[in-house]
This record gives sequence, structure tokens and C-alpha cells, in this order.
Amino acid sequence: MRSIKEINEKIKKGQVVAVTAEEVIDLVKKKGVKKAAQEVDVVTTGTFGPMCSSGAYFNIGHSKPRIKIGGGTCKFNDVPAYCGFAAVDVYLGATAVPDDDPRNKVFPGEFKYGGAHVIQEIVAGKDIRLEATAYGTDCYPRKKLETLINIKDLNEAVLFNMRNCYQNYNVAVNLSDKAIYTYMGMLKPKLGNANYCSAGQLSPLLKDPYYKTIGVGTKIFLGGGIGYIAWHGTQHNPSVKRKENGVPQAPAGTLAVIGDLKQMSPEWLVGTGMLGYGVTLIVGIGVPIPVLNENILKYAALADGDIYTQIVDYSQAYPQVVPGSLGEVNYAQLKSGRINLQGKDIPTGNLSSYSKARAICEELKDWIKKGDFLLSEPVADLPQAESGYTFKLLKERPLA
Amino acid sequence: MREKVEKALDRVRPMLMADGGNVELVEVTADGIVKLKLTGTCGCCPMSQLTLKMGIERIIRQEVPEVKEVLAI
Repeated sequence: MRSIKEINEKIKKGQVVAVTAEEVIDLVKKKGVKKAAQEVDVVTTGTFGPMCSSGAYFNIGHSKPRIKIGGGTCKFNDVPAYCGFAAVDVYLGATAVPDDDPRNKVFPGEFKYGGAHVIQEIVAGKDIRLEATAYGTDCYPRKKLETLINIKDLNEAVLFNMRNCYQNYNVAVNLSDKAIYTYMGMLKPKLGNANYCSAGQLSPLLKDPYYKTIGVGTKIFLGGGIGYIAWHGTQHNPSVKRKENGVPQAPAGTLAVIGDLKQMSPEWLVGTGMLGYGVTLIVGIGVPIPVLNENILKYAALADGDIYTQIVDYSQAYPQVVPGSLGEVNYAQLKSGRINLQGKDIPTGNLSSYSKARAICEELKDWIKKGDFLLSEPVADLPQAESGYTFKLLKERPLA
Repeated sequence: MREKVEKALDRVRPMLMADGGNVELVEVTADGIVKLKLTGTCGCCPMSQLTLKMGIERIIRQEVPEVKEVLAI
């Protein structure tokens, strides 16, 4: 029907027809897939939710005299970063917390400050306290460095998230008789609430369920700037059971993403503490889906009612890795604010902001329409549903 | 002080309402503690603590510096 090259020509001429993942649903209902596919060139998707496997690497520049932080220690505002690289390259993980954070000693811990907060402050242009120690060498004699740093002075500041953008996710509930604190939020006892985490019908990988257009090298909206899909994300699991419409019924594909932190915004990278669990980074991601044929549009027009996920008990089943589901619901049911499980009417809550996801879809659409964002051709496929690629548990073996 | 807090809350409400939530002002104590009730989807939102501390408290304290803390009840 059309190629990415042809779409880019239309973007350059200001003639592209771009719609959001929400708008396309009504459009396809009204006009049918065939007609809508003739009209629409690009569908913009988006998501804004907590994504723990995120972080950023920095080259802080060489001090005078030189220091080799590699093999030493490094802290940003007291939050330890990983420095097992060369002299002045460090990686700060979103979930890192200061050594003196009480963590869960007084349960549930508050996790008020960590790597994700530092990343947000760096992006906001705030000065950050850097403290590093080193063992010293002939060519890098310095053993201690204490300085303020600012993103504008760093050589490189790159967001590199190894697992983001989950394609579908569990609904978390608690069957036990006490409250539990999880990465899915606080879960009240005896099915007191149900938390989910997805933008549903706006979510990138749910709108291209077989990764027909999204691949390695796809240009994306990342944290308010431009990023790229670097690889499939860790725990990518495309082989899970799918509905007839192609949508996985459980957590499936994931993305590893990369982009220049200097272009990003603290509005779309937000550090937060999950009570009793830890620190995490809320990441805004938007992915354009080029309408290369009718089939791609058919998937892009899937709505909340077409997308199902599993309800999982986080008091026993999840921590003990007991497979199985308490039930299946779709995102229209979840978004209604209540679901029924085991005869009980349960309030639902979303960790992912639908309104912010919608804003990302709109922003990306705007960039494309203005000619500021050309689509890229993926350079390699993500592991596909039929590839046999799957997510394995750890096989523990005795050390001796 | 109550009126000033209500005014600040009016700035916050559109953001909450975008995700189906809202907030009611319950009490402003003489020592600067603001007590709120999160309603709508905010009432069962797993991210409500983030909204309360990073969104609502930040804006209220910016607009009404005499406020010391904002609590959800």
C-alpha cells in the first residue's frame, strides 16, 4: 500500500495523515479498515508508566589531574552509580538508593530518593553533587573527586533503558488477609483492590502485536525527546498465548530504548518511590506505526475491549512463581473502575496514566505533522511470536 | 489560608480530572497542615501518593508557603 519512504515524502511535504491510537479506533469503526487504511499514513501510540529497568550513562569529562573512576566508586547526590567502565564513564540505574536509605527496615519503606529522582533532576538542569573515589594509577593519579556537575557540561548523557514498554501486563490482586506492598502498588487484603499498568489501546506494542513495523532502529518519542529502539528488551517473551486478534493475553514483548538525555524533559521522566518496594522511573514513550498495509491498520485499531490480560495473586502466586491466573479481563472492564472476581466487586487502579499517554500520542502526531519527525526503517526484527524466543526462569545450581 | 489553598487546588484539579480523579479539601489546621480527600479514580489509584506529594503538595506549598504538609485522609 505504502512504504516508509513514501510516508516520509508526505511528511516533508506537509501532506501526511497522522492520527492517534485512540482516534484510529473510531475512524476504522466509521469507515472500515480498507478505506481508513487508504487515508491514514501513521498511527501514533504512547505510554507513560513506571519502568524500573531504566537508567542513564554519562561521560562526565576528565578532571585535572585525571581520575580513573572505573574500578572505584561514584555517587550522584549520594546515590551510587555503576562505574565498572573506563575512566569517566558511569551508569546510574533508576532503582539505586543511597547507602544510608533505610529501605524496608521500617516497613513499608518510603524510598523517597534514588537514581530515578537524580535522572529527573539532571534532565531538569539542576546541579548534582558528584563524589568519586579511585585507587590511582600512573596515568590517572587522582584518588578523590568531589564536584557539582550539570547536564550542559557533560560530554554525553544518554538514557539507556534495558526493558521498557511491556506489551501487556498482569492485573495484581491480593488474596491474603494483610496488605502487601508491591511494584504494582499497595494491594489491600482479600481482593480489596486490583491494580493494573498499561495504556491499553494506546500502548505501542499492543497496537503492533506481531512487531511488523516496530523493530531495532525504530525512531521513537522518548522522555520528551527523540530516541530509538536499541534491541528487544530483557524478558522479551513473544511466545505467550494470544487471542485470535493476535494480542498477547499476558506480559509479552518488551523494548530496550536509547536516546539523548540532553533533549529530554523532566515532564516525561519522573522519579518516584513505590511504598514498600523501591524507587522507579516513570517513562514517557511514543512509537509511530506506519500504515504499510490494511493488516497493520487492523491491529492498530484494536480497542480496550479487544485487549485481555490475566489477574494474578501477588500475595502467594507471584512471589512463589506459581503459574496460573485467577481470571481474565479486558482493558475496557479495567478502565470502568471495577471488575468482578470470585463474586466480589473490586475497584481498579492504573499505575500508568492514560491521559499522559494520550498527550504523548498527540505530541508525536504534532511532530510528524509539522515535519519535525521522520520515520525510520527498522534495521532488524524483534524476536517474533513464532521464533521460539522465550523468557526462562533461573536454574539454580549448587556452587560446590 | 483555606481560601488560598482552595485556589491552589483549582490549579491541580484539571490534571487530576484528566485521569478521572479529583480532590476535596477537608481541613486546614492553624499549624499549616492541609488535609485532603482524594476522590474518583484518585481514591483507588496506586500512584496517588506520588500525585499527592509531587503534584498537589508541591503546587500548594508553592502558592501558599505557610502550608507545611499535605496529608490525604
